[in-house]
This record gives sequence, structure tokens and C-alpha cells, in this order.
Amino acid sequence: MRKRQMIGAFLFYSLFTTHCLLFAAPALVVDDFEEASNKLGGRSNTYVMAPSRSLALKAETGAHGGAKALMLKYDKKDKGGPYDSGGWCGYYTMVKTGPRYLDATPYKTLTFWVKGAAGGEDFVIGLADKHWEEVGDSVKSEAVTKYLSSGKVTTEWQQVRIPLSVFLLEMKELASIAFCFEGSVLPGGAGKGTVFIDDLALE
Amino acid sequence: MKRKLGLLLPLSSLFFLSYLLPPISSLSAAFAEGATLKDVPPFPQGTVLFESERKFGERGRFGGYAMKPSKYGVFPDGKMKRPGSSSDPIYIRYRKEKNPSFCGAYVLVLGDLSRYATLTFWIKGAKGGETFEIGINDVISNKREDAVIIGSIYRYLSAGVTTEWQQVKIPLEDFFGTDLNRIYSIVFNFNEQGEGIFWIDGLEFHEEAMVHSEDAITAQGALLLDNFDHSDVNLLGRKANAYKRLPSVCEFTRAEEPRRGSHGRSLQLDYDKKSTGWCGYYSLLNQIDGAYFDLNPYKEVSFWVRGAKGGEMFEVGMADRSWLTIGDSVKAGAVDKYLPQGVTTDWQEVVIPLSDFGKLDWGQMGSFTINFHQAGAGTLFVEDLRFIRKSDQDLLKEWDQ
Repeated sequence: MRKRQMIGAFLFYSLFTTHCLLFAAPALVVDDFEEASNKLGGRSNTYVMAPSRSLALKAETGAHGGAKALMLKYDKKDKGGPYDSGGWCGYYTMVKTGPRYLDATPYKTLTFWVKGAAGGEDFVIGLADKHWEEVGDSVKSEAVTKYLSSGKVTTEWQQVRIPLSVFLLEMKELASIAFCFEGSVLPGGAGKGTVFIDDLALE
Repeated sequence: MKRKLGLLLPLSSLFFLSYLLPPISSLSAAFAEGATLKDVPPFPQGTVLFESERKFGERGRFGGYAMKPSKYGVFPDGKMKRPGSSSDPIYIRYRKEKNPSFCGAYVLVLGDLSRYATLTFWIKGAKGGETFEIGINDVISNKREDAVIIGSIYRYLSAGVTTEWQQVKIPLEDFFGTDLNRIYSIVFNFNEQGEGIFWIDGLEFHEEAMVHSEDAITAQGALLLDNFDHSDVNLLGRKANAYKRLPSVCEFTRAEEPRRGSHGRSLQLDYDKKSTGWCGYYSLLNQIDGAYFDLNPYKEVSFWVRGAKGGEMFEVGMADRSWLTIGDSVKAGAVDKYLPQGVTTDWQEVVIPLSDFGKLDWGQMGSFTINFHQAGAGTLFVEDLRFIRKSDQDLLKEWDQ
């Protein structure tokens, strides 16, 4: 009788896990940076508040996948601008299409690939749901280096995996994803550099 | 034990069954690939309809409207088939006479389109070149008989309607200001004098965004704001119009001659600037009460100009959010700053670096203006208003400065 119970439990477990594996939501590629618009049709751009500044271009050599990667140049200041805090800078991509927000509840992890022009660069990821979009801000992750097994951005491609649970957001109504060059993760609150990003996805 | 096993077996059977049947998520995905009119969710509860709207309103119904002497004809055409389609396309015929006479056709939706991102349909003309404006009515605008028009079919088919079947893809976000939860009808408005016959088939709604307009702008290196060919709204779907303060006046029309190229129209501005008042023409970059336009990736504005007599004088202005709020613009200067010989009766291109407009908030831009600042009357023709993008080299040079 115990043997039949064990067989039954095993059968149930294997069917359940197979079902989960077969029918888990496939990864959603947000942007592979091959075209001007992201894969969801949303616009992307830098955001800046002087005196800080940032520039986004498509790098046509050394991409992680495909022909192009995103090249982000940043120049975060620590003085001047609003509250003399140096302003802000970064890059955002909209996952909201027109008035429709992205339902990100089927996904658990935000992933992308990163490398630096010099190594040692750092930034945070910002996610905005409908509420945060309305106030023009986002909920930030910890420094991206915390999610890298090597503990730092290098000149080689590394995958960053950030659990969506670190963002306290309404994932049913996701509006945007941002790469934010925050003074809090830069030495002395300021810094200038270049990072490359590729294959931004939700898994 | 048998009882326990009995409970276990039906459970596992359920999992087996789930492998045989398509999962719910797959069904949703298939649905998302193209919902037909019958698949569209109904109006939300509490949607207010006039008695006439309720009685008349039947989803999928085609019809038309006309003020004499303009005419229309609309019916399902079983003789015309689109390859791969089993449905009967809708035959639409129109004869649009001089203004104020008008005519148009419509299809009733009576549904909630808020879950969709893209509208698609197939179109084929009897001769090619058939033209109309596309609009949408929610239950409020339908009561006002004032559809939201987003421009000509040429905005979505750059070569226009031809004698071959072509799929038209329209982002629903282009219908800015409509309540997508309560869409009453889709409108085809015949705004240009003339007649034509075309067929519509395979009207569908998609959850995915199928139009990436930024890709085309990047590939072309420029944003064509207006070619003035087929619609009074510009190619961003924004409003454009003449402005005046008496006794100065300006009127605009779209003229078939003179024009650049073999077809289309130019913008004709007839102005009479007095010593007081003001007059000119504007084209909006922002949606009214909506998002402002980011011109940061652009470096120049370009357009072509000629006069009826030559010597016409005007200045060019741009307004960001703040300047739009106060109803004015920053001027780059008079046209003879950019055309040393001034306006002539030949087409000449005017190219103005955006830096000549001074310190505007380029991420929050509102309008482009042509302002007649010198007293005098005249007629000016304008074509192909474009914004030229910065190249990667321009951006890197700017970064290093």
C-alpha cells in the first residue's frame, strides 16, 4: 500500500512539475536594441536634469546578441540643479503601449546583459507602475553590482537578474523600465562613464 | 486506499487532459493575434446610449452619410474576394462634391477596445489613389456627430490605396482623446473632392503594438511633419491651422498647384498683415491636453517655400510648452536670413538649425509657426515640413563639447 502511495505521489509530482515547465509564461523580450522602438512598440529615451546629462546610442559592434546593443553615456554631477544635488540622468523604455499598461504578473525576474567601457561602472534599475508613472518617478533596485555574481561591472558581458519582488509595485500595470545613474551608487555622488546594455527581458 | 487512489487518478487525469487541450494562455494569445468585430468585448455596464443609438446600433453594420450633392454607396460584395479570406469585403463608393457638401462611410463597433493596441484592415481600390480620412467615434463624440479624425489613409499607406490588397495598421493610441472603452464607430470620411471605389476586408483588433513609427523616422533620418497632401491635420495627427488677430488675417488652403512632385498638394497661405494685429499658421507637435513632443534627437527644421509674386516676407517660430501656454513662439528670424535672395516664385528649401531658436525646452515641444510680421498682403506656398535628426556623430560631438 505504501508503495502505491509513493508511486501515486511521484506521478502527481512529475505531472505537476512538467505542467509548470511546459506552460510557464515564456520570456518577454522587452528590447534587443536592434530597432529604434522597443519590442513592445514603446518609445525609449534618455531623461536628464541639468547639469547631469546622458546620451543613448546604438552600438553596432560588440553586441551581446544580434547586431546592436544600447550604449549609454552618463555624466552625473553632484552639485548644481534642483536642491544643488547635481540633477539626474538615465534612460527609460516604455513597456506601456498607448493607454495599455503591461501585465507583468506572469514574470518573476528582470534580466539584461551589461558591460562597461572601462569596468567599475554602476547604476540602479527603476520600475514604474501606473502610480509611479503619474508622479514621474520609479521604484529603484539596489546597485546593479549587487545582482552580479562577480560583484562588479566589467568590460565583459554579464547577465543581471533582478527579482521583480524587490520592486514594491502593482505588476499588473507596469509602465516603464529605467537605467538610473544615481549619485548614491557612484563614488562621491558623481561619475562619468559608458555602459552597454543588451537583451532586456522579463522572465 | 482504493478511495485515496481513486482521488489521485482523476487529479492526474486532469493534468493529462490539460496536455491535450490548449492551455488558456495559448487561447488568449491566439485571440490577441487578431480579434474580429464579434470578439470585441461589449460596452462597460452603465454606458449611456440615446434611444436612436440603441435601436440603430448593431455591431458590424456598415453605412454612410452624405450632404447633397455628395453621395455614397456601401454594401457587402460577394463578387470580390481577398485571397485567403472567406468573408465578403465591403464595397464603398463615394462622390465628394465641393465643400460644404460632405460624405463618408462607417462601421459600427459598439464595444470596448481598451485592451487592444492596433487596428488592422485590408484595402484595395478600383483604380488606386482613392483617399479618405480615418476617424473614430466614442459614445460621446457620436452624440456630437464629431469624430476624432487622425489624418488621411496616406498617413498609414505612404504610397496610398492601390489596386492590390494592402493591410493598413493603425495604433489605437493615435485616436487620442477618445474613450476606447466605449467605441461606437470607425469612420471613413471623404474629405477630398472626387470619386472612387474601394473595398475593405478583414477588420481586426490586436493586443500587440504592430506599428513602430520611430523605426521609420530613424531609418529616414527625418520626421515629415506635413506634406499638406491629403489632410488638414498634420502627419503626427495633430491640429494645424491659420491664426489671426484682426485687422490682420490669414487663411490656409491646400493647393493642387503649385506643388513639389507629381501629386499631392502644397500649403497655400493667403495673408494680409496690417499695422496692428497678427496673423500666420501653426502646426502642433503636441496633442492638445496630451504629451509634448521630444525634439531633442533633431537638429534642423526644413521646408520648401515659394511665393505667388516673390518677395513675400515671414518669420519662423517654435514654441515649447511654456511658449504655447502664453500663445506665442520664439522666432529664429525672418526668412531672408536663410534665403539671401528672399522668397521667389521658384521652390527653395529653407533649413534652420534648431539652435537658432534659442533656449527652448526641446523635450517638451508644442508647435511650429509661420508668422507674417511685416505689413502687406500676399500668397505663400509651403511644402514638405520636416525635422532632421541628429546623426550619431552629431550626438557624440555634442557630448564631447
